[in-house]
Amino acid sequence: MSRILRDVRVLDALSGRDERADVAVLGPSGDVDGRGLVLCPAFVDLAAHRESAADDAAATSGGFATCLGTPGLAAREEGPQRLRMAELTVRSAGDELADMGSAVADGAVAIGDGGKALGSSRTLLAALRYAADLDVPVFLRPSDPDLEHGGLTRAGSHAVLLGLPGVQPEAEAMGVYRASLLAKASGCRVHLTQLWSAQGIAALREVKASTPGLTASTTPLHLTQRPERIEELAYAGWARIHPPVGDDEDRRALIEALVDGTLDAVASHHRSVPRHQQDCELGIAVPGTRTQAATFGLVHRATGSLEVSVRVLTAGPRSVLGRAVDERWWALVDPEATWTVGDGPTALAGESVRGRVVELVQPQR
Amino acid sequence: MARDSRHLVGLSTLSGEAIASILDDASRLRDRVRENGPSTDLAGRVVALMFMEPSTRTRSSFTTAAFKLGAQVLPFDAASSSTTKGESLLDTARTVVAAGADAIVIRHKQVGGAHFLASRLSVPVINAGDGIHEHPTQGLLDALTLRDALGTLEGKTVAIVGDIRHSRVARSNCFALPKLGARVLLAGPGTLCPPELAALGVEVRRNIDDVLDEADAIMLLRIQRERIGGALLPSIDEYRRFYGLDVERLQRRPELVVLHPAPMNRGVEVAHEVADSHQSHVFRQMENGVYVRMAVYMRALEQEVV
Repeated sequence: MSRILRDVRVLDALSGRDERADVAVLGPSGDVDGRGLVLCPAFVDLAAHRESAADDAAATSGGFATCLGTPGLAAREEGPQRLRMAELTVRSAGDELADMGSAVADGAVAIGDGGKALGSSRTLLAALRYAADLDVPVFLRPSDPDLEHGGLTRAGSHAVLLGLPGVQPEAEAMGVYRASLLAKASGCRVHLTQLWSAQGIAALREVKASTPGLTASTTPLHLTQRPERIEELAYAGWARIHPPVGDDEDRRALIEALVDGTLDAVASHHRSVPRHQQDCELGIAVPGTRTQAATFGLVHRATGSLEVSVRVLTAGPRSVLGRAVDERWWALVDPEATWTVGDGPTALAGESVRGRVVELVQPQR
Repeated sequence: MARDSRHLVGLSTLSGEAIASILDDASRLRDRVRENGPSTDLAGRVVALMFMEPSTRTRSSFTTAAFKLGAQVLPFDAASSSTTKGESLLDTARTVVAAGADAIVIRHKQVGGAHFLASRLSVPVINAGDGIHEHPTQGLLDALTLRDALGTLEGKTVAIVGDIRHSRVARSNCFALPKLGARVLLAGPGTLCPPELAALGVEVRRNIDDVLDEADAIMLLRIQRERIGGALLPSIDEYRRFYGLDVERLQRRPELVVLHPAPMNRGVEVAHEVADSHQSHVFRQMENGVYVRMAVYMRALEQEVV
């Protein structure tokens, strides 16, 4: 039994293949008019939380067949492949080194403390030295946590008008320099996550070539969301995004960095937060947004480039992981379908996006 | 965002006309009270005072304002309330509404707390201070006091000196005064008055001597003792020298109108003699606070001031 996708554009950023073809995929027999559609290797998500089966459905509808972030569930027929992330420090508290060697021996493919930035540079250097022997990348969110402390939005005119404590973008740039220096000192392969500021990107541009193995990613929220949204959402908890979203200049810098390859990937940072932890005042809310289903559409809207959007969700994250992932699945994408994010009160409610993943398919060998 | 005009969450979203109309109402109510005493405009109505942070002045002012209009006050003590048992702010507010409150006055340490409630409740919400963000009734009473003292705000220059960064009073003034035609100058040390405050549509200067000569009125902000000796301010002596209004400086400007949102640190931001001088309007500010809050209640409960 096979379905034929007729005249579909095959866009494979891994091999460089870009051509129109008829492709046979598993499924009930019949022809599908593939004109206007794009077939690319399934997306790989470098950061996605899984709380329930609803998150598997979100991953699949967003075109992700492989997700990194929640401790490993065995590969299954249904739902995405879940790869495990090991802790860098115990409970990600930044004080003591976690049993990362054991975690990697038991299947973890990367090490990191989620969004938390380490306060102590001494502990960070030790952690990177220890991890350097394990041959997996260490994920760090670049920041000076002391400078960032207490901030709820980007420092500058928006913070002044919103009346919220600001996060200086210099905190991110300092984090980038620190991570680069300590990566070089330790010989550890480092991946920087959730870049959000023009200053952070400028620092990354400066150090990337001279730091062996350094890669970096941003998120769909940081590519598209504006600080003003906090006021539009009446300071409700679901408006909280951490690290904060930047201003127009920051977003322009992120997009340029995706286009020129300074940023390697986009990771969804998808997270389902219980309603009661966000139906509250902004300052006490737990940050987190269900982003996976809309990730491609947001990246495509932000960059305006199909090729870049596909690259940063396929080849980019694979190069960060530096290992084989489940390659059975491909994403069939309608790049020009416009739609609006619904799904209850979230930071993305009402957001219009450009492009939708039609389904994940398995081409016949 | 709350667009319902019964709410008063901040002055940033109010037009100059709306602000002037509240000031006119407050001034009419003042005449009325002085002539006839309290009224019964809001008899049978209940306002809940949800003060989730300590407050003496603002709370008693809102209480008196309610009494002078015949409204009942539903007191709310944060220390003994269910919020200390983990109830969310929204549920607490809904309980207060279910208990019969026709309006809610909220002071909360979280920025946007009042905005959040206003977007979710069926009754009008009045912001009595949300973190460092806004304190709209204070902004209104300052504007009324300035208008009384200067005749008009059109073309006048108002300087605000001190810890602007952590001041919801300064922020509400910066939103309101330019809409009434005034120019606002800010001054303070870079740690407490950083240049990006110019985003408020005001001018940022360095110290009190940079603003004193141009100002028709000056508002001194309270320096919180806990800010001194840390990473923000070196010492009280240094603060007094560059930012304090002392007798010598006041003598340079015999017409200057002096305001302070109180409580004052006598001898720090304002000299004892200055606080008690005829140029000081501090206690008029407090009196005006009652009339402004009466006007805000009337607006919230859709009663015309006649």
